[in-house]
Amino acid sequence: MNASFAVELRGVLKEYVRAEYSVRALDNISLDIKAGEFFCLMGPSGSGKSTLLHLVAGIDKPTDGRVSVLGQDLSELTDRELARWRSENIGYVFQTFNLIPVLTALENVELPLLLTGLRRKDRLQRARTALEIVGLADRLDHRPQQLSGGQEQRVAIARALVTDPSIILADEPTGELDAAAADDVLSILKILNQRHGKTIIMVTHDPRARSYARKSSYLDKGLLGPMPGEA
Amino acid sequence: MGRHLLLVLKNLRRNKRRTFLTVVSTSLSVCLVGMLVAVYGALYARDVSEESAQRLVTRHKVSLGQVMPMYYRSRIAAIDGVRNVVPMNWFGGTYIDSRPENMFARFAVDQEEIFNIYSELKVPADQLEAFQRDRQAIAIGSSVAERTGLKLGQRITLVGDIYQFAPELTVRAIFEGPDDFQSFFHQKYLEEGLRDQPGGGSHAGVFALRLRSADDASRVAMEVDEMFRNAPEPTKTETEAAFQLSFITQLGNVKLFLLAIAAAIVFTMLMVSANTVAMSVRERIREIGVLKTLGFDSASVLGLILAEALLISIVGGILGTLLVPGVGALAVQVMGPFIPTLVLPTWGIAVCILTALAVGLCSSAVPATVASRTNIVDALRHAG
Ligand SMILES: Nc1ncnc2c1ncn2[C@@H]1O[C@H](COP(=O)(O)OP(=O)(O)OP(=O)(O)O)[C@@H](O)[C@H]1O
Ligand SMILES: [Mg+2]
Repeated sequence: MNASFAVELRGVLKEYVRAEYSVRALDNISLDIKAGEFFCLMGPSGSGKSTLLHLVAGIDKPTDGRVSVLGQDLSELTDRELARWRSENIGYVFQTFNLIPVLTALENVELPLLLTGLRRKDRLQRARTALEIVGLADRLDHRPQQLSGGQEQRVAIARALVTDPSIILADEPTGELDAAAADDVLSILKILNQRHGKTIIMVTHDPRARSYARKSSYLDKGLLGPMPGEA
Repeated sequence: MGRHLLLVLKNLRRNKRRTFLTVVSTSLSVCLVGMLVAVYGALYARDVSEESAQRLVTRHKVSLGQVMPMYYRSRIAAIDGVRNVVPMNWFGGTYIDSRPENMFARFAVDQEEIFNIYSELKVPADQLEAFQRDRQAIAIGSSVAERTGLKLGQRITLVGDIYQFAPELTVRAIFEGPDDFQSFFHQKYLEEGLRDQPGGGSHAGVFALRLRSADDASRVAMEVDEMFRNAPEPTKTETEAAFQLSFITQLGNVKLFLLAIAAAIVFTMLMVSANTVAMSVRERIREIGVLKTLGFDSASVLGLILAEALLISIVGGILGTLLVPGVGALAVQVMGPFIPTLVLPTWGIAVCILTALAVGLCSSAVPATVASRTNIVDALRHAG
């Protein structure tokens, strides 16, 4: 195991077995992503991109193969340990933001900190700082429905980074946003990568989004390869 | 868990109307349960006063409808420890009509002894004398006076139903006391009125005994019943409290009845509550997926949902319990003083709160467990 790799997948297979059908979402994937990388994963719909992120985040388990993240073989952890590990090491950004509607921006960002030993004062301080980083210091008390899509996604990014995780996973973070808002979000991710040294793994359909990344891979029908049209 | 309280409270505000309605329905159900507990307490766990503890009631062994000959009185009075004995006959009858305020209890009694036996009934000395002197006097409780508007000196006629006799009476005394929705008139006057009728003569429906000491109660009761065991009219003697209870339980299995109603209420409450929790959990499956992605483990999610349901039950339980005294007073007012005062005994408060908590826990245990175990990916894919 090489510590300079943030993510190591070895022979990862994921099959969804249902009564009526079974789908091979990932087929024998091996992949290394270096720490500090801004990695972009592209591919057509249904090719298994989200599935791959789920495995890296430890919210799903591979049918076969080994997933190790930050030097930790995830299969060795119980669900409870995995939850704790995730809260400390992974920030997750969803395509559809997934903010808690009854909480304000500040409270949404504070949420992951409830799992730490921090006092309320420190939690709020850190949540404020995270919101400042994404440029929303003036929207602390807004509810999600009082924010634009771009702002919501920035709150979601603040929530993902507030615990200072090493890895931020983003599943089509700009999928619901217009070009300007998408640029904001991507710039923030880039800053997090370059200035804060976060490893970023981003799934996207958006070719422009890819230009923010340093490295990219292409997933098709569960198989990993180089970008089509590139060597 | 304390730090998650904010989240719990915010969740309850998510659908304020639903939270409000659940709290209201919980508190109403708890209030109903509290009322049943109060009724139970009034029937079975009543505080017995010192006077009452010193009293025994002797009745015909077979039923309250059968009478005992008057000579029993002196035989009972001769038993060691008995201070007074007074025959009492339930007259029944009608005063004006059957509106509740006119339905006070009416007994034909020994006018000389009755207030010695029931010493907690207080009557002014001059009124007592007037009551004892006038053969056609009636003494009424202050509740009767209050509710019927009867005054001293007023003449009334009772129309008999058990007896073919319509006593014409004058209110000579108004007494105060814990149990004062009742009235007494002279046994002698009743006997005279029935002189030429079948069923006439000198007898007693019950004998009320006042003992020197409550400690003698079981011994005296046994001696009385033993004395008349082989007589044509055998007796059954019990404490006043037991007698009152047996009077009520003639109506049927009251305990079972109360329990059945309580069970029905609790069951309904459980259904309503379970439905609410299930609904609020179903709406939030996706959020639960998000929480778990953020690192909340199953136990935390379980705790959050249980805490929500329990908070609603506690609030509903407390409100419902607080409602009981008011509703109890109202019930007494509406139904008349035939039902005893309805107060929630201290243990009843615990019953109410625990019922609410148990319902909260039972109704949320299943949805909370299911929700907390939901696969994260499935939860995230959940629409809504
Ligand atoms: N929970 C599931 N149960 C059954 N099949 C699933 C499940 N999740 C994913 N799949 C299947 O696995 C395959 C890969 O799904 P995945 O969501 O990873 O694709 P994706 O590349 O993220 O697609 P998109 O770009 O549309 O988000 C699909 O064929 C999908 O139908
Ligand atoms: Mg996807």
